[in-house]
Amino acid sequence: MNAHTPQERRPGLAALVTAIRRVRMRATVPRLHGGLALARDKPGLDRPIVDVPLPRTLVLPLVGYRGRALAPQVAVGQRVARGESLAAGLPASAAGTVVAIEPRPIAHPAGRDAPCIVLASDVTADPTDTLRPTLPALDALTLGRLVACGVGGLGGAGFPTPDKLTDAAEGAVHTLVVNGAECEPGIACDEALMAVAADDIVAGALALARLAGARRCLFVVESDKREARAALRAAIDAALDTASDTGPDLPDGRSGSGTSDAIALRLIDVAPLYPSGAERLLLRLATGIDVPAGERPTRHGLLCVNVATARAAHRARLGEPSLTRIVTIAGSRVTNPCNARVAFGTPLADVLDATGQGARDPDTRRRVGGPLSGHDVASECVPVTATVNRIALERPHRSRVAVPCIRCAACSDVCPVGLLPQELLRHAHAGDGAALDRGGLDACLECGCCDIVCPSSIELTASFRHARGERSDARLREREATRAEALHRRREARLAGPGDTRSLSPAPLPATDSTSVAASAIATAVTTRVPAPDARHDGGTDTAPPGADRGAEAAAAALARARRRRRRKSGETGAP
Amino acid sequence: MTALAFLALGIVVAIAALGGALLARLDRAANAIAAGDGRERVVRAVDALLPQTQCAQCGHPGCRPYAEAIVDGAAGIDRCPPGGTRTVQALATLLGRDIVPIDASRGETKDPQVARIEEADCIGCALCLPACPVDAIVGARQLMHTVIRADCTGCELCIAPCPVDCIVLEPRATGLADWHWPAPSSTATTKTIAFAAPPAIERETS
Amino acid sequence: MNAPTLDLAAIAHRRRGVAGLMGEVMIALVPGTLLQAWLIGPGVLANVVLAVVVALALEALVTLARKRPVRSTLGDGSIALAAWLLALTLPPELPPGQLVVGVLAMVLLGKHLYGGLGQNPFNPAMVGYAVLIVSFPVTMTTWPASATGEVPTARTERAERPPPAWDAITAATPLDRLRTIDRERVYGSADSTDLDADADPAAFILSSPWPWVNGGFLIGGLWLLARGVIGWRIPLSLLGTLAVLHAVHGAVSVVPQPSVGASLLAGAAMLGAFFIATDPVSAASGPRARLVYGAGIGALTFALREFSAYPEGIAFAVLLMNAIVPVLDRLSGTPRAPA
Repeated sequence: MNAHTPQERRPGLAALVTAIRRVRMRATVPRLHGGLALARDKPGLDRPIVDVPLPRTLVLPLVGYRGRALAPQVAVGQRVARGESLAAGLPASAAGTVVAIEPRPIAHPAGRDAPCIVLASDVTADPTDTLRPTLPALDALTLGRLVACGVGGLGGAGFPTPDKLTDAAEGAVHTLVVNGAECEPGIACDEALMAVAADDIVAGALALARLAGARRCLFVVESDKREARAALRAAIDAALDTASDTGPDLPDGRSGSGTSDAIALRLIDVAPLYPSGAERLLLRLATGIDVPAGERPTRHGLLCVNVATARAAHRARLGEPSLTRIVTIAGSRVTNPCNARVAFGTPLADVLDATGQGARDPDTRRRVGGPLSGHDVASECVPVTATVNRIALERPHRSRVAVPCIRCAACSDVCPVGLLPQELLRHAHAGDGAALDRGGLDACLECGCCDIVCPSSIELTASFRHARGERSDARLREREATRAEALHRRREARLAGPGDTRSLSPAPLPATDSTSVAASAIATAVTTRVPAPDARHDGGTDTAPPGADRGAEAAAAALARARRRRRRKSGETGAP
Repeated sequence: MTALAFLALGIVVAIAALGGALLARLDRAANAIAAGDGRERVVRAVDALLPQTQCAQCGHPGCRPYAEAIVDGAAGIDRCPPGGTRTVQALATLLGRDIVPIDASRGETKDPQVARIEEADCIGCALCLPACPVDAIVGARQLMHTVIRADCTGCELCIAPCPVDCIVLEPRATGLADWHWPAPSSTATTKTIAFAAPPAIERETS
Repeated sequence: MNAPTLDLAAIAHRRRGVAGLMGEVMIALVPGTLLQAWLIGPGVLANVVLAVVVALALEALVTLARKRPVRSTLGDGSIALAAWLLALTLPPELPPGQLVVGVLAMVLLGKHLYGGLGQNPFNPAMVGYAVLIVSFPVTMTTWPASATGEVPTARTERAERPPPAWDAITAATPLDRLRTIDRERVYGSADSTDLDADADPAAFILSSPWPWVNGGFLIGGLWLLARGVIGWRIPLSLLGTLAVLHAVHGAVSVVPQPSVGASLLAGAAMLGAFFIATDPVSAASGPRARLVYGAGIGALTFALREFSAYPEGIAFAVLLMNAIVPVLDRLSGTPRAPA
């Protein structure tokens, strides 16, 4: 069982301890409005990080942020070197041969297969080879180096870090916030990393801050992560001593180093409330700046990265590609809870076997991600990727039956964003899109606090996730409809007009995505060209196939194909 | 005793007067919407809820004429297969009418689709070009025709004119990026819900 | 069927279900109920048992008729709690037939007419009470002599008086007597043999068992507050408004009025503040809305106590405020920190 499981203590004592912690926190550190003080459950911190050896077969999904498809840059049969780019932002975790590019199960809540690159790794390679850099070290980190090393968000959402930096206009970012507030129970990978690699984290943060032009670097950690906090404190102090362009962050905003272009470093504690580690909330706690939902923090001068991402940035500057991450192995059916260093592409089964979990019971449930932010997966063939921060083996769900809402308002009391979940639930059931927008559904973090406190056991978070998906589908349909209507109006104007280009509006059409911008440009060019009267698009009475250029045989062949197809179709449908 | 009776009577009269005034105002508002440029506002609101496929399956040459017919009472709200049950729901909510199933004789509701011209078979006759209500087909006589996928609404009006049947309809690709969380089992219903945000009918500026 | 998306079992956080909440409220009712039974009459316990049994049986029938699962509907304990609360507001000598009428109204008109748990706009116990007090005004206001206070007049000696027997002649509650006396005094009745000019009206209340009973419910209510079962806004605003209005009335009135403390410990003030008004289904749900809701109930209770034909105003005050809860919720209707 989990070494930190509170069930081992008597429930009354645990409640008393939590209450005392809460009272102490209230007095001292910045805290969320709402949120929950969940029992501290950080597995595997009492033992060193386990290194999971490279498996024979690596499965690397060609899936980017939010499910976008990545185009492979290699072919089947190709030999690749360690760190070689297999797709945009996807370096090879080991040297080997591309065995296949095919759909495989991946860690995604959809439960669908996705195209993956299957790599047979050269296990004969020297194990220490995994630590060798593949690129020369740089003095200063560059965007290209981040891309080449495949540095992406390692906090759980997986936002590509280079994109975060390109978002920021020149000099727009003034503060880099390094997120070490691992607030979700059951995950301890960041805390484990902070305890052993605090120097790398601080160095990486400095590199990113210099790249982004930030003047301040804030390291945020929960106040009860003592070891991690101490390690970070020591690393920050060392950086203040050694680096010439750093200084302590003074309360009045000046950096204490005396020079005006120094980067101020500061360690910030936050109360260990869930979900204080959520990016928007963390930024508000650390900087006081409110980033509205749907907006990127870079628009407000903030850049937020996870501690593991900062470390990956440091290693990237030294020339090492980002090929591994720390994963917490936990759960009620896990015999050996620990934190493991795993190469991307390692299937779950290999990770579990390498960390000594023993045989799995037939009804064991596998879960990827935290208890609140993660999702169940059907098989252990699923590979570890940048967003997999926890692997859990759990007993089957024993969920409570939902009863009607009793309007107790415990959900709105606990919502960290200040929403009214019972109202949102009502609107979600009714499918009232306007009310959902007004109620702030877009600001919902899907943290699960409302689910935890609901006495009626209503699946609030699942309903909101579904409603958000439906609402975004509805918005997409609305956008497409607006575009189609504009196209139709333009066509009607074209047909009604005298054929003079000056009567047509030059305004660009609303584009649904970047590729359609090009398409609409073509369309504009086509429709604004003045058609000659005899070539106006009325088909004309000339029905002779214009096949004289291509030869009569080609035309006859085309017609014959068409007749065959028509016969086939009418044969299928039974109609002439 | 009589004082109390007069007081009670006075209160009843006052309430009746207040209620009457409210009813009169509501009535005036309703009439204003129905007549004059209030109608234009309602038609615009109805048109905003239609999918703009411009497919003419409803029997009207485009979505705007159908919207006008709905507002004038000449057509029911059940004639739009591409909009499907969602559109019927949204229209019913906006106009205060009953939700009815889609008229099956108008066509079947299909998943989002786009047309694609099989270029190997296209003979460049340009017959499909005028058929497209949104000018999504690019081409000219004796030149290759192609459908701009982003503009195509899947209305199927180009299928009939093509003499070589080289236009095929394909479902609009949905990958992982389009996946959304399903409804939780405790609330899953069999009906489709609109999740639309119909624009409110603009208020009178007077 | 989709599996749950959240793994709440993996989080060591104690989650209370609806049945758990109802159970804790029932535990909190025990001190006050026992005090009421001991000081006013064991008929209170009989009423509670009868009301709960009849309510459960009735709800079972209705649930079967509505083709809903009986076990989970009865199992959440909400109708049992409502029956218990209703029984506490009734005189112990109430004929059982009338009690059944009250329970009928509570279960049918107060809850299932609107669709069951979570759907009723009105507090079911108060619906039952309202139906009873309007239909049976005499029996509903006839309490045993043990429920009334003794009148300290100059004529009687302030000697030890034996505690009133609960089977002695029936009488009205202290609030009832005070209201009648007030009317007589203000409208100039001939002679008021009940109260002397210099007698403290608070003594009327304080010499009755009601302050003890209210104290029992106050203890239970504070325990619920500490456990987080109820919020502080409704009881505080209710009692606060009641106190302020009673204080103002006492200062302004030409006839002596009971003290604020006595008024807060009279009638069903504590039961109403901590148990009846805090019913989550019928109360307002937003924080600001709850403050206004509680204050409104306090104000209406005061007004009904002083100016209405009924001795205690909590029931109708709650029902009237229930009616405007949807409007109140608009006060707290927008999210705290939108987007």
